[in-house]
Amino acid sequence: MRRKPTLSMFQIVIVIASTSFGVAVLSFPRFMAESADTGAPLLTISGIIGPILMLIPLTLLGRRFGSSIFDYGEKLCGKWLARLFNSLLFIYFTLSISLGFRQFGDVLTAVVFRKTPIEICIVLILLITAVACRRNELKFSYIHLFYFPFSFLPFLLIIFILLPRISTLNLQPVLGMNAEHWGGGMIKATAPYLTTFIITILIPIMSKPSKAMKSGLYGVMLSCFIYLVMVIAVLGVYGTEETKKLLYPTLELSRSLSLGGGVLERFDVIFIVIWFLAVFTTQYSNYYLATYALGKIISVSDLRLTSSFLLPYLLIIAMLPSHVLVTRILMNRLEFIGIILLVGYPLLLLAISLIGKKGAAAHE
Amino acid sequence: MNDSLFNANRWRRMARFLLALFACANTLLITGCWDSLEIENRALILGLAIDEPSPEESGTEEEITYERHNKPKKDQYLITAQVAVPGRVPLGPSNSGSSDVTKNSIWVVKVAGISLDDALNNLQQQIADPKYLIHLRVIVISEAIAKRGLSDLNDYLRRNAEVRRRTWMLVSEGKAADVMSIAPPLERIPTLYLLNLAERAVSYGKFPLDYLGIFWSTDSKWGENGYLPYITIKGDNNVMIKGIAYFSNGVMAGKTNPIGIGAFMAAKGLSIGGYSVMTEVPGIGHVMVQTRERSSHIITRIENDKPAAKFEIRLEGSITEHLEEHIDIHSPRQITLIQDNFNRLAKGIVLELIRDTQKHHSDIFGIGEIVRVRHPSYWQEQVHSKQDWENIYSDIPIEIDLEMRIRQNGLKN
Repeated sequence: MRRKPTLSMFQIVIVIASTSFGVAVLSFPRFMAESADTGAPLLTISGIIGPILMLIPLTLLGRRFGSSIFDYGEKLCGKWLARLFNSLLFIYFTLSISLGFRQFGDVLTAVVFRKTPIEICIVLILLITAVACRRNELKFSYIHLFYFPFSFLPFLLIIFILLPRISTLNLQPVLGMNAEHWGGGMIKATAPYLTTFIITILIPIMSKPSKAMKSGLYGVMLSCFIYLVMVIAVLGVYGTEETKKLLYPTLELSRSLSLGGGVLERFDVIFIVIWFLAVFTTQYSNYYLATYALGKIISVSDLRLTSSFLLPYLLIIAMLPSHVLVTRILMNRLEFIGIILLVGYPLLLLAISLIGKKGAAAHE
Repeated sequence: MNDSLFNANRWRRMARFLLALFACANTLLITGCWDSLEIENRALILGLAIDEPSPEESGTEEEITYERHNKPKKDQYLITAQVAVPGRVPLGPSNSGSSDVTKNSIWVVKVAGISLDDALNNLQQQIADPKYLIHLRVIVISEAIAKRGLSDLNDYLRRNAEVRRRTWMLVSEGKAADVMSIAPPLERIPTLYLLNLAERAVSYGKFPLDYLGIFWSTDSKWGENGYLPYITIKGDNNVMIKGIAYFSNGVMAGKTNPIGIGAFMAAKGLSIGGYSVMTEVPGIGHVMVQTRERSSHIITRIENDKPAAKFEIRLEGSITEHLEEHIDIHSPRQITLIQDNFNRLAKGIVLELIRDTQKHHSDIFGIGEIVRVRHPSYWQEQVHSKQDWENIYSDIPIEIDLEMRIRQNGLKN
């Protein structure tokens, strides 16, 4: 009997890192600079607290039950409450995909495709993602693994080239000056990591589920590292005030690159392609979670059905916001709700499970 | 039973074939056809000159973005654009004289408008092909416009996704349009000549690296003011970098002379040296010393509730000319004498530059940024806007400690 193929620890690390590195990359440094001035790097690091709080219950419970949160939720808090939470998760991921794709379309139509209607950009990436979601979890991970070097390494290359232009004066004082805005900033710093919720689907196919927490942690740290390096590069080259004036600071950073002594001056065109890959992998995870959740809610195990079913609704929701700023406001609210839901629900389940265990031990 | 299985396979094959066809047809959708525009069909604007219009020139703009009885603004701009004629820009050596070639490969268009975007819209109304700012390398603005204020211009340039941050912005002494229409023999396209002027100046240590993106970053900072190259036309066909135009509160506040650039680069410690100073040394005569390397530290402290700064400037140079040939320079004592004289002279020049910038409230040295980093509590209390620092800067005590080490004499004994 053939052994079922599983994911190694290294593969999980890559999938998690690739998932959390996504749409937000373009304007992330600006949000950090707006909240914390020169304290932006520290704020970026502090964003890691949220995903850690989310990973701990997810991995512990996943190891114990060997299934995803949608399944053991029913066992822990009852069928109907779990159905409710699963629906909330489903709605959250649906909105997250739509707004993410909308932001993606906004960037494309502002920078690259000025005359192309935004619907075309969104429809095309939705189609690609929907088709990619028709596979099982293993193939899902393989796709992530394939795209990770293409999206991750060029970022490192850009930042490495820009190192001499970083002025340390722009990065000091390290603690930043206004402490009042850190709260809002922390929400923004945590938001990109919410998609690491995907680990709950991947634990059942891990070769060593006991290592799940470690892999998830390493994945989040890897992704945090790249965000940190990016924030330091943007802040070091431009300074906080200029960063606040740029809508997409990372894009501007790639613009000010000039390779080969003037041969390649518009590097931002290549950068957009790399960013596209990063967006795709993140939204792929989101879409996968949404189709999985929908499958669990309506008790359909065929992901191909739910993935195709969601397509038109996602397009409609993506087209709803009327302006770039409206998208931003909606995204802010969604992130806040997302943190409460995605961190709170697993913690709640963990609490129930611990109390249950204690109760069982007492009864024995 | 066999029949139905066979049918299912046929349907599946048919479905796959149609899907493959559909996927191939989709490739038509993803080729970006909406936005495709051949490069010969674009009007590439290589250089822009922005001036204040004279009375006859203003009032010539058409009602393209507003109606005349509802005219939103009074202030105006006169734009001179150098548009490259595609296919006519010569890539190899040409036989005819350079001025003929210039006339054919560049099309100079003048338009007026109430804002930069309005003027460019007027421009578009006149030229057939869609304008494309992606190759805009040089923007020349006249001193009058710089003194009026750059925030309107900068807003358009920042919002436009085509404009590169590596574009150079130069402030010209007279009319900017004149700079655009000179035809120097070294380059076939005037814009490229100006671009080379700026970039070579950077590589030979004659001017700091200061293209538009750097100017924006510097001017955004609260503790530093931006500056731009100040150019003028010499003779018929030459453009010279005459100094630094420094800004305060968004408008041009003053300018320096050419040696002021050297003093500025010394004070900032910008490394590729390029400026020479002639000093008269008693007992030796006139000696020209050229700076090779520079390094500088700015030390700040807070005294009596005010910041005080001290520049520690260290230069390395060589003697390039000595006018009194009959006197030999052979002893270290003489070198020390030359160095001391140079130090005194250079210190005076740098101090004068600093006092000028202080008078005009323009901190181009970035002392404010250093105060912000080293004394954050003072900064948080006293400075709540960029203007606060500009005012504080104008009367802080600044000292200079400048030392030159002469390393070489050239090839003459």
